[in-house]
Amino acid sequence: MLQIIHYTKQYTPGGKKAVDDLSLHIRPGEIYGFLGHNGAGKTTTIKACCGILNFTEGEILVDGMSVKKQPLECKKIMAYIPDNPDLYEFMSGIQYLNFMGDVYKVPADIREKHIAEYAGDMGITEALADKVGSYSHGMKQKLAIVGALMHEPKLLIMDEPFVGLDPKAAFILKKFMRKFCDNGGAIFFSTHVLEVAEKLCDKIAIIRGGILLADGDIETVKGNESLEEVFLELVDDIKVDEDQDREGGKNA
Amino acid sequence: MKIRTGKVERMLKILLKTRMLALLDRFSGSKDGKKAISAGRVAGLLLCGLVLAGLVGWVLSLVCRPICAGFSQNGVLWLYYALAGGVAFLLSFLMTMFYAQGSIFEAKDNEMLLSLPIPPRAILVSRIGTLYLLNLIITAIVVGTAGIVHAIMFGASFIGVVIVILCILLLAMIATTLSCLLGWLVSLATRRMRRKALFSVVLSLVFLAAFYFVMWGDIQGTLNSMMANSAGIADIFRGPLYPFYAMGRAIADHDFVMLLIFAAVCIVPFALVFIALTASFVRIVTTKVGAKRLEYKAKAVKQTSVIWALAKKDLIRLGNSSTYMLNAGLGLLFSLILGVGTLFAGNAIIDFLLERFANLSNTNTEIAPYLVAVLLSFFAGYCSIASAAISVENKNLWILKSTPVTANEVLKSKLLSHLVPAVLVSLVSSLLIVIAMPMNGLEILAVFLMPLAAHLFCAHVGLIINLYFGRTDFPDDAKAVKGSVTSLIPTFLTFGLAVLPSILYFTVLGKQGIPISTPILAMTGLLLVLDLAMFLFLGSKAAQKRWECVGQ
Repeated sequence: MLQIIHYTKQYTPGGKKAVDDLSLHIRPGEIYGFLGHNGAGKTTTIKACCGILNFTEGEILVDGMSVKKQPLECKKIMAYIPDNPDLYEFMSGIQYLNFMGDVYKVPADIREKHIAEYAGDMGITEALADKVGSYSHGMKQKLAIVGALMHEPKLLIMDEPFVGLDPKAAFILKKFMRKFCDNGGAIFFSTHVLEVAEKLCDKIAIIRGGILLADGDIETVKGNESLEEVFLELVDDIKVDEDQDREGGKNA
Repeated sequence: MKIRTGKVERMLKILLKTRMLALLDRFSGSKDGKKAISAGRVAGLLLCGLVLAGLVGWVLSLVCRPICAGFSQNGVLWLYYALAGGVAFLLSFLMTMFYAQGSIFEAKDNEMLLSLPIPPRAILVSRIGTLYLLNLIITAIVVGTAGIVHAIMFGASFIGVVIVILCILLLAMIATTLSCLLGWLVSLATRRMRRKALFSVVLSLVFLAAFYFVMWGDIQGTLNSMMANSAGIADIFRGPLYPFYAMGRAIADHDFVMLLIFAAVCIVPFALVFIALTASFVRIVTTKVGAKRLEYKAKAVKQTSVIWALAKKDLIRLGNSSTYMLNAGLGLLFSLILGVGTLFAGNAIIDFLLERFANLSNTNTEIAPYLVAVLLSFFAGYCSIASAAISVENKNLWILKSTPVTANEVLKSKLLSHLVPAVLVSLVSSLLIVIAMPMNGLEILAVFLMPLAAHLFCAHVGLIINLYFGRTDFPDDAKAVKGSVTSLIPTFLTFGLAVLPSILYFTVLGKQGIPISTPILAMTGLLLVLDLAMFLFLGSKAAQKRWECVGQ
């Protein structure tokens, strides 16, 4: 569903590479977690996948179509939810959802069905008449999610989707993500919440300084350790067990 | 926790410095404070400010000279200073009222500052201090100019200079007090309001009208009648405008009792407002009384085209921001005023405008309809919706970039969001004028077609300039419209092309017997050709490629 092939991004010609030669393959039915510290290159990669940022080298394919050469066709079958949901604050929630429906050319009857279903699931139906500007961060996030689902995308790309969500909404989103992928969709999302990634993802990729450190099935990547231990070892060069052993030795 | 006095002073100093830098940043139009203001830039800005103040002072001195001479001769010099004080107060109050509302009661950093170990009083002092400084600058320019003119004409004593300086310092307090009070009231009134933008627009227009009345009113006529009836005006100042009377007497007669009275009138209300605000500042800025929540009722939705959905979104944005509305749509308001005014007041309003702006005292009725067309076209330049249309997307740009909308759809929708209100208002205004003024077919064509062509021109040029040179990193819509140079270029280009035919007619063509209809209709044709060329360009691959680069 999403193929990132030797993707490289430099913001300034000849400057530092924000992401260097990244290759990933997200297949239908997979929830793919993208892990890394702040500034590792996650958002840059995600924005390139959505056609927001162009890139220096490589290729990104959505359902076999090039994001560079056929951006509109790619955008029609995917949806993006940013980490900071900067929505149109001057619109009401329902105006925003209808706007998304119009932009994706969703027929009125399907739109109505989706609004009732997804907004209900996210618990924002009652607030749909209010201005987005009056929403809390979590409500904006929920509205962005509902808006992204209006056209039944095959690929969901999400940047830190759990930030600002209350436990109920996070639970519903996790359940939705699983259901979405079980029905043949694919999800590529970044997160800092390692527990969520460990429990939810089928595959993960860990990136540091724009370079891919590890990727693959979650079980293969983490082996017998916890994802947290593997992440810290790879990204921060911290040997959790050794440190603990040393602490233990000192205490003894 | 008690904070030591020394610490409070240090905090206050830091806060005041921050406010001053923010103010300089606002005037310099820097990239939303991302770059630190260097000492050189501060010096440059101050120099520009001084030159500007000097220019304004020079213009004011031309008005001051005859009044000073006349009132001095009549033995009512105090009235000269009282008038200067009144004008200074009015100007500073009108110019800082909305600043008070935004910077004291609705400042975005209020809660952040309150969470820091800074006493609320220090925050308030820093905010009121900045407001006072702004009022002081305006007051100093007006009253200072009045004082300098008087000194040049009749000489000055040391004590006189000291009294003038004291009065300037005191007078700025009155405007500050009233700005604070009105800002407070507006903030309270709009708290639960759903149509805040509309309320702000109406209020701003009232103040704008008052400001234009003070600045552009028939100053000379008013002055002449004042000179003739100085006794009557003096009585008004001795009555309801007593503070200005006291100020005038204190300066003109070196009357210390009057100076004390004036000081009391300025300081006591200022102190009372400051005490009241200090006591309630935390409550005012932390009480969240949002607008009443609306109940959502699912309604049948209607699918619309992508272009119309995008344009509708931009029109909703326009209708929800008073700053955007006022700055981007001022020309539409002027056109409507002209149309409605002509309908009710006949040619009087057009004669007035032509006399004031084109210096034509005996307007020939044959050329009047064409000059009205020029005037309406000129107002089209004041409409800068499209010239900020891409810049205002800033934080929301990701939506347009990540959804399947083409560059062509985005650019056409931006044109639509400008042209829907502009064309509508232009047609209504032209229709009202055609109803009110007797015209032949050619004149009617000019009154309808030239403003339309000008609106199309302004929209296309504005959008192209914004597409190529517009920034998308403005912190809010207001700054994208007000702080954008790309909004000014289309405005001035439209102004220039709108008035060019009349200039050509009055300087060259008219003398050669060529009727005014010729340059007007030629310009209309030229504008339409340019509009078509720009429309085609916006649909081209070059424009599409440029849109793809926006936000990269």
